[in-house]
Amino acid sequence: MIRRKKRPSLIVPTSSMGDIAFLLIIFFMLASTFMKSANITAEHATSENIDQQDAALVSITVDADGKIWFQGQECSSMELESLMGEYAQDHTNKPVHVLVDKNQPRKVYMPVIQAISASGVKMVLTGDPEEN
Amino acid sequence: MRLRRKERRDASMDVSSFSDIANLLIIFFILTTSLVHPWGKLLEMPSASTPPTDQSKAPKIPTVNLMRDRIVYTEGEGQGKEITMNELNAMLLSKKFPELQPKDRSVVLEVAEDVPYQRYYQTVTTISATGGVIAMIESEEGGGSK
Repeated sequence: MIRRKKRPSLIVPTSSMGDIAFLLIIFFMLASTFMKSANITAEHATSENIDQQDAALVSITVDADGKIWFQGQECSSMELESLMGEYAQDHTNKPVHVLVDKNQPRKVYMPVIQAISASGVKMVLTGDPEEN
Repeated sequence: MRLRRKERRDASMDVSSFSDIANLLIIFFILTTSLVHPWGKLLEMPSASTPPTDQSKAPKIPTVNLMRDRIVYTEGEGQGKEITMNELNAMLLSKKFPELQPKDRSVVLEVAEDVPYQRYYQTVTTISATGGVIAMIESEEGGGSK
């Protein structure tokens, strides 16, 4: 008796592709944090003595116009003091990231640094590494 | 008479486009996610709970007077000395701050009114990198050219 040779199937099973794709989406949704300062323009200060830090939990930005932004919301230095007081109650050990436009004068950046310092919260002054 | 069989409705849903939608969402998240860690320096400030040191026993606290175009370094009651940023770095490194207690690592930073953030940032990160704890004072004078 002659047995007919079985032909291998040429169809690739793609039914599970959708499931894999959705698992990837869930991963990215859980792992990503959206930038709160995407629409804020500030020229970064540079230094040789900085290193890479962990991602920011809270960020404070002083933009090119001298406006203060706390987590993407504009605020005054007085409001920042009370916001930092609230933040300090739960997160003393988690530092806030501070980005200040490099051309700002002392009267703009110093109240921000003093407000954070007075709350007892640690701060990371962010900038760009200086190229030699 | 011929009986007509009732047509059954197809209950299955067309899901073939779901994976395309999912892939589009993945591309969106890949493009909007930032995995880059920011560059910066953790600033160590003196804590309010630290007991004040006995001034007679305390080592001479270095004072850095930061002005727009120069840096004046003073130690204790001594005479101020004009130095560069590199010299400040070398001077503070010689103090071996990491081996000392936090209360003995204080560096007083006096900032003049006309100092832009870029210059302040470089000074503060230099002091922090050597292990110094920054105590800040605002200077009234402008501190322009001599």
